[in-house]
Amino acid sequence: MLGVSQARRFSALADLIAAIRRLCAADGCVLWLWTEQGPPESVRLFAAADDFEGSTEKFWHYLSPDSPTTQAVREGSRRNFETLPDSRADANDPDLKVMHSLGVKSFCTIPVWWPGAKSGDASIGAVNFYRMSECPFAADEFELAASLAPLVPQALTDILNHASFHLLRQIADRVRNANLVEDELRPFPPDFRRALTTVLEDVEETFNCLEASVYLKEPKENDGTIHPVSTRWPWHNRPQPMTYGPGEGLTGYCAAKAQPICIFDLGRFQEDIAYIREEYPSINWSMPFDIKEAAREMLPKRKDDRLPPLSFLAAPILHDRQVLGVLRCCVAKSAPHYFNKRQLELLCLVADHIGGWCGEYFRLKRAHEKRQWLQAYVQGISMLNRRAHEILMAPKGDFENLYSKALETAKSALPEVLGISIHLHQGGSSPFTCRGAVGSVWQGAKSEDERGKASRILSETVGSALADSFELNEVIPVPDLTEGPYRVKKYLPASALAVAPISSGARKFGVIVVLFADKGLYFDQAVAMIELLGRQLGMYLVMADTLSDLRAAKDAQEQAAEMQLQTFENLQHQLKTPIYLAHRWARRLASRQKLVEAVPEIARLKGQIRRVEQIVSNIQMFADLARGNALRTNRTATRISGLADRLAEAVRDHNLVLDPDRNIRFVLDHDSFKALDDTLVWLDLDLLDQMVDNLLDNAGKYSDINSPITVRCAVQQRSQVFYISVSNRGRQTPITSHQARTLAERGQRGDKALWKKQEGWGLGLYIVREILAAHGGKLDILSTNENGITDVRLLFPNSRPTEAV
Amino acid sequence: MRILIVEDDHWFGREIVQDVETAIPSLHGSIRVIKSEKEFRGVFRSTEALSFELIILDVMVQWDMAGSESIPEEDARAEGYFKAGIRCLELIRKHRSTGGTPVIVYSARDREVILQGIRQRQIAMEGIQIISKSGDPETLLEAVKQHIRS
Repeated sequence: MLGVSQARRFSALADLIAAIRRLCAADGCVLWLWTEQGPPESVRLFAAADDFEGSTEKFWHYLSPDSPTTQAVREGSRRNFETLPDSRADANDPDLKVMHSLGVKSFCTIPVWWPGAKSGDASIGAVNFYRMSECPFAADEFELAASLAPLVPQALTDILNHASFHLLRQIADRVRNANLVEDELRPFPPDFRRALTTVLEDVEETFNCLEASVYLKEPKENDGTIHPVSTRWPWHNRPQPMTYGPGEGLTGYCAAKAQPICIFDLGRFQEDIAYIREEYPSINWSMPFDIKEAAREMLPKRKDDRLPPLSFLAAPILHDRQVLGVLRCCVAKSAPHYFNKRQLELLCLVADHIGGWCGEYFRLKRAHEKRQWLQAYVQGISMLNRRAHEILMAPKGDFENLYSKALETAKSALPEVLGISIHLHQGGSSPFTCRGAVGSVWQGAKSEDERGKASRILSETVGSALADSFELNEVIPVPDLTEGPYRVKKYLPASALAVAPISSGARKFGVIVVLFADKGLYFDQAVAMIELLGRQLGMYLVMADTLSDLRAAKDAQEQAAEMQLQTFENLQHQLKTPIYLAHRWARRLASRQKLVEAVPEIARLKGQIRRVEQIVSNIQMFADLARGNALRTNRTATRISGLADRLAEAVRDHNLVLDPDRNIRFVLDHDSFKALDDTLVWLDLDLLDQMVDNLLDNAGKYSDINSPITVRCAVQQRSQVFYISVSNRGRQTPITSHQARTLAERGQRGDKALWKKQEGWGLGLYIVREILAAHGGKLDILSTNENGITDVRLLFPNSRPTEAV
Repeated sequence: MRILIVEDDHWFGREIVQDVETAIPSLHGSIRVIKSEKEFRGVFRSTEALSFELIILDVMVQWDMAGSESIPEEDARAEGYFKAGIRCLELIRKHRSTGGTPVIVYSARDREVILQGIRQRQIAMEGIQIISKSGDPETLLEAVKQHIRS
């Protein structure tokens, strides 16, 4: 019997009833069963199967609660009615009317039980035998009927059991063979729907119902709404409800309460509502369309237009105690399929199968999504690493670009988040504020204004979470923004939040924030992801700092190497020139006949020798200073007025070095000296000569050849400080104050471009500054905008003779 | 015959002029001394460049003796001061009218360093003579005399 079709399976029941009827010489036989809806005193019997001689039309659907059969069933005692009660005595008894209309003259009723029922169990209904002739059932005939009647529930049980087993086996096959290929784009892909449809076809066949549907929650929705995923919906002119909210209609009730529902007859819903509510408290059926009218369209028409029971079943689809959706089954096409608890149990078993299957599918889907999420994340991080590498390797790293790439990575891995933003600390010891957003992506906000608004909301509402994450250097997940320390009182279009520090070890740079419209399934993964992303960014920033330091060190090293090379080349050149000149003049001197003719060569030789001495002296001093030694001075007390001669001599000597034709003016400001006539200046006079030589050499080289160089010796009126100044016309564009400050640095000149690959080696002013410092003096380099005059001023400390002593 | 001398050390410039004019009196007043690379480039933008039949070049030459402006960045990168004379030599050779003018490189720098600079700039050695300042001044005078004779 397992291999036969459902129709043939149930036709066997009809055949059995027909055979029993004939054996009992009855004109009609009906299997009456309890409706099971409501308390025992109110339940009715419905015709589960019947057979009438020469008639195919069904006359009954229900027996009234007061009918003799119902009473016999309730009492569990068989009865033989040799005559029908007079219909005129109970004109309102619908059962009598039907029997009279059929021409029934007598009948007997045999209560029946499910096979295996125990003593005291309520009977499930009765098998009635009817005769149209004036020949009531004799005692032996009644006994025969009573002995044959239990075969009917036995057969029905067998058929139902076999049908159930067949259905469950088929569904097990469907589930086993279903191809659970996840689809990242749709929650319920076509293959999944098709597999469910085949299950529904099986259900439809077994339950012989008009409609069967599977409604499921979408995995990423948390509002409890269920959606039709697969359906056998026969009413093409009537739209199927597309969603059921929690508790909405019978289907929504089933999903919300996770409770199976069995309504025996929707056509009598309003009459039975009191009983139904006892079983299903607060149930409400909104009747989206007229079920009676819809059933009439699909069921065979009867002459009296009476409808059979319009049964409804709904079973929750559960997995791990979670409601995934509802399997429902509506309106059996014919007896004996009207739905009772037994059918509901079967539907629940089917729903359990579907639940297990859906659960497995969702588990696979989640695993797939997790894989995809990880894949996207890994790809994103890989891309970010490549980009970071490019940026870090570039001489000037575009970190704004790196932050935007990091945001893109987070966005691609977390497509459902509301917004992601990166906030950097402003630096120093100032407290963290989230004003310093260096980038953000907002899923909902398209315009700059909207993004700005979202960013402001973020800083105003959850700024403390950001600050805590930064200060504690820890990730802070806030799965519910309506409670806890980071509760948001204002409206925020987000319900969850996660903040992760951008840091590496103890070095903290900022935070990365992710806002979620709702917590969703992947909150924990998202938290882990941004934590990693934050550490990744932190690492990049530390690397950037390290690389920057390395680059600076390398630049400094290269610069030092280049400077060294240039220094040697310059030194070589500067020494060679006076030596070759001296060599040339010495040769010429040797050819002079008279001493008087030799005077010019002697003077020139003296100048070049002094030039060499000056260079060598500078080198020695530089080498000493480079080794970290202090400058040795041999200072003697010299009256200010006495310095004039020494300076004049130094200038004159240098004229020979520089060029006898060069106009070097020596100005002694006598008037300024008068007040300090007896003041002493502690000086190393040899070093003074060296300073003057260096200044004049510098002025001579880097000035207009036709312009005079002025050496001034004076006392500042206001500070009473003695000074020597050397001024010359330098560039037409004067050096800047910064250049003036750095002019005396080793290897520096007024212009960086000039310093590089330029003549001279820039030691002159450096040595001057160091000599002055050893004297407690100060070097002032002034640049005036007028005429491009550069004035180098040496300020010396002075003291009274008594103090000096 | 006119001679151009590029020499930024005034002593050396004066010496060369004095020696040449003493040895070859006919050249008196025919020698022009310029003291910076910038000034040299100015001369080579004018027709005056055509009038020189011999050029005596120092190698390490200041960009601007008057200090009125910085050396162009491009030239600073091309070893600035240290190769100024080589850049002047390249300019002479590239100039259609002066391309064949004989040049005496008169420098204190090592001969090999000068040759390397010339090779780097792919300048043909034809018509170029290198004389060291460390040598006998007569060497330079002899070279100048040879050019006059030829």
